[in-house]
Amino acid sequence: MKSTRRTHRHAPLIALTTCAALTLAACGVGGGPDDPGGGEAADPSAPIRAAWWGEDNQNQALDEAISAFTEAGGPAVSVEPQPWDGYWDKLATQVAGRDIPDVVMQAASQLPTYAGRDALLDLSEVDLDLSGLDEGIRDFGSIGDQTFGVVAATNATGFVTNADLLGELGIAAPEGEWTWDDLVAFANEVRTGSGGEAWGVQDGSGDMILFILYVRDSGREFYNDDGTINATADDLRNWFQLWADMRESGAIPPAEATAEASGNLPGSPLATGRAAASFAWTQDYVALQSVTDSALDIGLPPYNAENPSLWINAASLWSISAWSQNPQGSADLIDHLVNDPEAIETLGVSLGIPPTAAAREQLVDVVSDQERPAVEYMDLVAANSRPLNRLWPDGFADSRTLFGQLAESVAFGQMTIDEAVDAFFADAEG
Amino acid sequence: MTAPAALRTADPQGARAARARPAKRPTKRSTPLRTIAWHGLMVLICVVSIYPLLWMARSSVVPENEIFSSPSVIPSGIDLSNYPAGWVANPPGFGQFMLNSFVICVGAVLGNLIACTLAAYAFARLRFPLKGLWFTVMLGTMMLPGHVTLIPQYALFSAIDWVGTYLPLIVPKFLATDAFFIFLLVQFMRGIPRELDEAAEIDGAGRWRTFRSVMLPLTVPALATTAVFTFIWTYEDFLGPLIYLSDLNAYPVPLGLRMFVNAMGNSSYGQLFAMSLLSLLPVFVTFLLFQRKLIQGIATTGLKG
Amino acid sequence: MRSSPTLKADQTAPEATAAGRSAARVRPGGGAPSGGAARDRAGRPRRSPRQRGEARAGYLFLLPWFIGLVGLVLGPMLVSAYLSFTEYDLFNDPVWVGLDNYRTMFTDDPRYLQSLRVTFTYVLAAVPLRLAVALGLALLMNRAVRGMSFYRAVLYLPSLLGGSVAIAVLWRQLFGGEGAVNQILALVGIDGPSWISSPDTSLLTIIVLAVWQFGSPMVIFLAGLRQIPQEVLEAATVDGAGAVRRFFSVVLPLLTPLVFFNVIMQTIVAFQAFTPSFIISNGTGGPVDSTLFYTLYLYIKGFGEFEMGYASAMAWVLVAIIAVFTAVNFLGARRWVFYGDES
Repeated sequence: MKSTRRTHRHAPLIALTTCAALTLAACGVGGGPDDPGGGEAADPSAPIRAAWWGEDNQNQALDEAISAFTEAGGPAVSVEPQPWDGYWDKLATQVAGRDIPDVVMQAASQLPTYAGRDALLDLSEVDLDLSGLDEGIRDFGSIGDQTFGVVAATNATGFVTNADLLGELGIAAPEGEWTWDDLVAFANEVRTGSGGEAWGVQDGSGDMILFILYVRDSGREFYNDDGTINATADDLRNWFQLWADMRESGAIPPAEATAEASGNLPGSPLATGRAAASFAWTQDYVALQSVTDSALDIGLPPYNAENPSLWINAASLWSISAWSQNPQGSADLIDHLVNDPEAIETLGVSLGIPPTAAAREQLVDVVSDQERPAVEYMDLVAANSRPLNRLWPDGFADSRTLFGQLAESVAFGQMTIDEAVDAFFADAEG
Repeated sequence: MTAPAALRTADPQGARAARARPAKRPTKRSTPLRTIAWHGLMVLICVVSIYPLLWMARSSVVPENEIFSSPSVIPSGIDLSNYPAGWVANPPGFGQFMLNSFVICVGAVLGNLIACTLAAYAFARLRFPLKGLWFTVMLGTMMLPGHVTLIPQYALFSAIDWVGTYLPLIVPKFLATDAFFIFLLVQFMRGIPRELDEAAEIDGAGRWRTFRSVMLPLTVPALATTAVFTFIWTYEDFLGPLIYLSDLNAYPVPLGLRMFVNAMGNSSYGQLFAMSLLSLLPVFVTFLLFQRKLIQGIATTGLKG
Repeated sequence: MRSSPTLKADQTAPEATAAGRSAARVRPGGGAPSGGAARDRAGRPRRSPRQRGEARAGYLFLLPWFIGLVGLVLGPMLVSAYLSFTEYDLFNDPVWVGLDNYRTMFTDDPRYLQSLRVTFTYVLAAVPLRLAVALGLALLMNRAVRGMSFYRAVLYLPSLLGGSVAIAVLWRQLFGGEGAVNQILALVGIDGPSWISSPDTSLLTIIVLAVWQFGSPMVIFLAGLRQIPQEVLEAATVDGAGAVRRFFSVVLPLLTPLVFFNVIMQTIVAFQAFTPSFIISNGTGGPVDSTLFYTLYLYIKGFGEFEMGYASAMAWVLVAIIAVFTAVNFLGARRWVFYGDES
C-alpha cells in the first residue's frame, strides 16, 4: 500500500518500545532499529509523501496538480489526504514516531509548535522561489531569518452581516472607518430595533484573534518581537467589559446560546437568523452563506485607516519535514503548487484564496458566486491591512484555548473579569 | 460459594415439593390484549430509538440550508441527489470504503472468534499454575486508556513496517488483545454446567475435542455476540484507521465519512447524512442476521439444565 | 494491573472449587489452599501427570493471548508507565522528572480535579441507569413473538450510531435552547434552559446519551437470558412462582455472571468515556469544563498541549482507580454471583 516507508532516523520511542517488547520476549538486549544517523545524501528523485486535510474538491484538485508535477519529471508522490478531524492527532503521532510525511499542510496556529520543536525544515536550506507571494504573506511562515512554511491559501477575519435582517430593521451595517464602540452601538440598535427579537452580534469575547484586532486597533502589537505578550491587563479588562456590557443589555446572546453554537456553524445565531452579525473567517463566511437563505455581506471589522488592525492570514501553509530524505524534491513540489500557472488553474480556490496576486488575477473569472464576495473581500483586506510583526510564538494555540475558556467562565459568571485577566497573564508569564 | 437460596426453588427438590401442593395451572403466557399492549410499548420504545435516524434520513433529502433549522423528521420535499453525489465523492468513493471496512471487519471478527475463545476456554475450564495472575493481567490490560498507548504502539508497528497496511488493525485480534471478549466468553462458559464437558472427558475426549465438540456448540450465543460486537466496533472505529492508514484507496467508512466535514469552507452535511445512513445498512443487516443465529443457537443445542 | 493483585483465582478465575466432585483433583497455583492435597516439600501441591497435562493444555490455549500480550500489549503499557515519570512533548526525548507529574495532578491542577468530579458523577449515574434500562428491555424482549429480531435490531440502532458526527448535531437538536425537548416542555408551559450548554445540565445530557445507547449490555443480557434452560423456568412455574418471583428467584440468579460482567465492563468503559463528550462539546469539555471527562482531559493534555508524560501519569492513576473499583466488585461478587459450574 505504501511504497515510501523508510528507515527511521533517531527514534528514541521506537527503540524504547521495541526494547520493552523484546525484553519481555526475553529475546536479549540492545534491540531497536538501525539508526543510520542521517548522513545519507539526499536524492532529489526519491519518492516523497504529501499530507493535507481537505474535502473532495480539494483532494481531487491536489491529486491532479501533483500528478502533473510527477509527470513533468518530479519525484513520485504518494498522497495522504486526511479528514480535518484527527489530522493533528495523527501528525503528533507521526512526529513521535519520526515518521511524518515530507510535505505537510500546516495551520498558522500549529506551525510555531512544530517549527519551534525542530520538526520542520528551515526552507532557506532548499532552493525555493517565493518572490511571487504577496508581501506580508511571504513572511508569514518566518521566525527570525528562518522560514518554515509557504502559505498555501490566505484568509482574513471579517464582519459578516445578515443583509436581509438589517434591511428589514432599516439598520445599516458599519462601513468605512468605525470603532469597537460603534460595534456596541450597532448591536444595541439591532436589539432595540427588533424589539428584542434579534441579537446585534454573536459573542466574540472568547476569540483571541478579535482581541488581537482590538489591541492592534490602537496601533500596538499583541506580541512583542520576542514573542512575549505586549497587550496589557487593562486591554483585556476593557475587552471583557465591552462584551459583558453587551451581554447585560441583550445586544449579544446569553452564555448558554453562545456555548450551544460553539463549533456548530449551521446552528449559530447568525445562520439561524437570530443575530444580525458575527465575526468570521472568510472561509466560514462561504460556509455560512451555504446554510442560510438570508443574504450575507462581509466587511471590515472595526477599522481605522491610520492603524489598520487587520492582517492577511494564512489559512494553510506547506511545510517540509525536518526528517525528509528528499528536501529539494519536496521544495520543488511546493514550488509547483504555489507558482505553476497550470497548477494554479487546477487548484482554483479549492484550498482557499491563493497567496499570489498572479494567481488571483488568473482565477478572477472562475470562482463561484458564493465564493466571489470572499475573494473580493480579500482584495479589500489587501488594501487595508498591516502585516503582523511576527509569526505566532510557540504556545499560541494553548493561549488561544485558554482565552476562550476564560471568556466563557466570565460569560457564565463563574469568574469575575479581574480573575480572568489575572489568570490569562499568569499563564502567559508562567 | 453456594447458590442463592432463592435459586433452590428451581432445583428438583423444589419442584418435587411443589408437586405436593395442589397443582396450579401455569399462568397464561399471552392474551391478545397483552400482546397488543406489548407491541404498543415496543413501538413506542422503537420510536424513541429510531428518531435520530429518521431525522438523519430527512436531513439527507432536504436542501443544505434546511437541515439545521428544525428537529422535525418530515422533509419539506425529497431530493435524493445527495446519495449519488456522496457515493462518488472522494474517489475511489464510498463503495470502496465500504468494501475496505468489510475486509477489516471480517479479519477482526475471525481473529476475535478464534483467539478470544481459546483464551476464554483456558480461563473458564482449565487448571494451570498462575491462572489467577494471568486473569488479573488480562483484566488489567483493559484499564489503561488507549490514548497513551497509541504512540508507543504506532512506534512498534512502524518499526516492523506495518504502518500503511491493515495488519495493525487485524493481527492484534488474532492475538486476543480484545480482553473484553475473553472476559465475556469466560462468563458465558462458566454459566454452562460442568457435567457436560466432564462427561465428554470421561468418554476419553481430549481437551481439544472437548473444547471443539462440547464447549463451542454450547457457546454459540456468546460467539454470535462476540462476532456482532467485533464487527460493529471495528466498523465504526475511527482512531485506528486514522493513525495507521494514509492512502485514500484503503480508507474504511468512518474515515470516508469524516472527509465530508471540512474545517476550511464547505462541509457537505447532506452527503454526510446520506452516506452515514447508507453505511449503517450493512451493520443493521449483519445484526438482524446474527440475531437469528443467536436464537437458533439456543434452540438447536437444546441446553439441558 | 499491579494495583489489583487481590483478585485471586478463586473469585476471578473462574475456577470452581468443585470440591465434592473431585477431591483428588487439586487446583494448582492460584493461592487458595485446598484441603487434602498432596504437597511436595516446599509446600507446593504436587502435580499428577494429568494435572501437568491440563496445565500444558491451559498454556497452549492461552498461547495466542500470550504472544499478543508480550508482543503488542505489554510493551506499549510499560512505555507509557515509564513516560508517566517523564516530561515528554513528543518532539524531544523524554526527560525524567520522577513523581512530578503525579504531584502536579493533585496539588496544582484544578482542571484535573474537575475532570475527576465529572467522571465520577458520570460513572455513578450512567452505569446503573444504563444497566437497568438494558436489563429491563432485555427482559421485555425475551419472548417468542413475531418481529422480535426486528425490534431487537431497531433497539440496537442508537448504539450503532456510536460516536458519529450525526450524534453531536442531533443532541443539539434535542437538547438545545430551542430543541425538541424544550418544544415539548413548552406545551405544558415550562420554559426549559439550553440543556446541552448550561453548565448545570450539560453533563446530564451526556448521561442521557449513555443510557440511550444501551444496546451492547442489552444484547449481552439477552444472550444470557436465552441461555437459561427452559426446564428450570418450567419447574419454577409448576412450583407456583409468579412472573415477579420467577424473575427474582430463578432468572436473576442465573443471570448474575453476566450482570457481573456488565457491571465490571460498563464501569471500566464509563471511566474511560471519551467519545460522547468529545463530539458533543466539540472536544473542549465545555461549557466551562462541565463535561471535561477524565480521558478527554488526558487527550487534551497529551495531544493538544503535547504533555504526553503528564497524560501518561493521568492514565496510570485512572488504572489505579479502575482497579480498585474492579477489585471491590470482584470481592463483593462472592456474595451474589452464581456460576453454573459450581454445585
